[in-house]
Amino acid sequence: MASTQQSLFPVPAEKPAESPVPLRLPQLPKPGSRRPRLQPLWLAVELPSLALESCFRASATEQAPERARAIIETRGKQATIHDCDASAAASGVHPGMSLAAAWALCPQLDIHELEPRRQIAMLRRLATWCGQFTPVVVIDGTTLLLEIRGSLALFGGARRLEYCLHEGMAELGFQCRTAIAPTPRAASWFAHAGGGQCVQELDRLVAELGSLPLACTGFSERLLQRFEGIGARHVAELLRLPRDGLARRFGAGTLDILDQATGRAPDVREAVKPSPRFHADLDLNYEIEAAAVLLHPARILLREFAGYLLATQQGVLRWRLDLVDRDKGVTPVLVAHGEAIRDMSRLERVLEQKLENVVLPAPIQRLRLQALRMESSAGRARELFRDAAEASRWEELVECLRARLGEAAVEAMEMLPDHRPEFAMRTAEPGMERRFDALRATRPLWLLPEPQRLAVRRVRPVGMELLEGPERIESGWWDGVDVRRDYWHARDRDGRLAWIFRDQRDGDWWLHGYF
Amino acid sequence: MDTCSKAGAEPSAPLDALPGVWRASKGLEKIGCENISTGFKELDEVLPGGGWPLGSLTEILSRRTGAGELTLLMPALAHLSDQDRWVTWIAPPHIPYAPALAAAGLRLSRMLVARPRRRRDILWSAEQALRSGGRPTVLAWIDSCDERSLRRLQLAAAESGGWVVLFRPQRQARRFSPAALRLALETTPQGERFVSLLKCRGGRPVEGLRID
Repeated sequence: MASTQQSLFPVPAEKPAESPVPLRLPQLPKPGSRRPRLQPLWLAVELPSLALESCFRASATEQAPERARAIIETRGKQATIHDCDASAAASGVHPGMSLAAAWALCPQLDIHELEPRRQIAMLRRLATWCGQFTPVVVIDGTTLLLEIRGSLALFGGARRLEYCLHEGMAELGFQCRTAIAPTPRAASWFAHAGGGQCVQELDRLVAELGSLPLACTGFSERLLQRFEGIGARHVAELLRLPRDGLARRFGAGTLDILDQATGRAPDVREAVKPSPRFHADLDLNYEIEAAAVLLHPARILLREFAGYLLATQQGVLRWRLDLVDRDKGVTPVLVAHGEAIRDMSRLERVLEQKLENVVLPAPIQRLRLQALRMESSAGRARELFRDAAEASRWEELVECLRARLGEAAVEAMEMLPDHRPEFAMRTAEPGMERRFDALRATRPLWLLPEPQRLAVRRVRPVGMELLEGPERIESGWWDGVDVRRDYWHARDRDGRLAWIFRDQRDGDWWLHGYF
Repeated sequence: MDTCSKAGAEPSAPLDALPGVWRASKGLEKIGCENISTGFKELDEVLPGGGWPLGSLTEILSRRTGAGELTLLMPALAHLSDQDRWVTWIAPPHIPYAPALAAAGLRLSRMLVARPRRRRDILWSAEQALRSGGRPTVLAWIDSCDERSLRRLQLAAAESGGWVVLFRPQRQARRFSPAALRLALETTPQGERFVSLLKCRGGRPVEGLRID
């Protein structure tokens, strides 16, 4: 990932080892002292190619992009390139160029119109996805800010958390630049400058900030020109100026921003609240005709879904994946689970089985995932209770079998307290435990779904040698299925032990089961 | 005859020292997998390990269904059910009657019945059940089956430690099968049951063993 894009900061090739987060031993507070507050730590995530990646998300599954891609902006009749990917840039296309010129340089350029609303929606979804790392996620322009002080112990250090986030974002199809600093403004400046910094203490912050060029800060063009006019190119030079002079010349707002960046003034941000519903869609880069192949792009949506469920501490019971073809016809794939789950591999497994049975009327262009029913689930304590782990394994099996064979094809049985043999049992959900006292009379191991009539000669059934019996069963007058039968054990011509009965009302002999 | 017995009595050290050499005169020996008693004394005596070989594929062939092939398994299934192991029934020919199973000692809460429509789904379901963990028991009813799928099933059983029993019609006895144990069950019109071991890993084939 780092080798193809030179603008990304070098992410370590392997996961950083868990760095020990210093544990604060609980100390008895001295009388009269206040509890010391934990300092916040912010992780800024800048998405430099958000426009491109939110339109061409399915590229995340491709190893090498087949076609060059670009986003265009149309103003009146003129269309200019807003952003382009690496293979387009290799052909010489750059942002600001006219579309005609770009096509001349790169004839197979795949273009998409710039959609600001879609970008904003995607950013919101990413912010919700980041909720699995911390509950405090802030959207600042095209940058996400995460407050991670409270999550350091869980993820094993700031660097490790950063790595996990990078990995997750790459799987969703987004490149990002990250930086860590004690204030949100400083963190976003660092990320804009290229990312990679990890400043955890406030006293080191001023030194690190100082070397930052002013172009990376969020100041307006006019202010930047004025800064250059007085010879300030780095933040350090601004910080050296006397405060009241700075406020007078450039406005109190500028001083506030600098104070917020260095940590002198508070910077309160409002966290994004995750939406109660989950909706995600994905445009495929090319039409897909085989349903099984749809699993690969669907995985991107499932990853987003799993992140959302983790962030909101929920599990899903029912969801649907709509397959949209070029005529806007929708083929829905409905998935139901026995229990609320949020495990990505389980979702994937069930979807794989369902997709095998789907027949596509037309090639698919778009996928849409929607959660229908979710419920809050606190997650399961692993390996603490063996029964819970085993029960979930069996539910997984039932789910997997049902996805392929159909809902009705997989079931268990339970006993009912009824004398009539065909009503003494019924189908049930697997795993239910209900005990009844065992019958004193023996019952056959196999029951026929419908009793079979036997040929009768001189009041006896043909080919059957009666052994034990009769067992009189008379029951069921209250619900209309009145049963008056004499049951016998018999042996047929093949030597099989059968369970037959004579219906007392009409004298017919029937075969009901085998031992 | 005299020379044969004399040859058997001599210790032939070089041959015995070779690894992987099994002498037919040595008799039955444990193959090294878990075994569970069948509940029938006559069968336990002829099976290597003294019972059904768990962690492998067993085939039971009979002319008709309902001829008592399930009764043969009942004691072992009850024992496995006691140990909290799940039993999965795949494509049973009739309804497994719950009151009878409960009376025989099976736990209904550890039972699963699947009825696939296509034949390849039967083998697929069996494999899924084996791989779901916890050393389960799988009972499946199938007619013809290619050797490759049977080998896959055998491998899945060996890897997971589960026991898979395939019930097949008698005519499949001629076809080769990689199962560790192959039994044929026959019933006479008088109701006597005879078991023949067609193939037995670590043991000898046996014909016409009477089971009571």
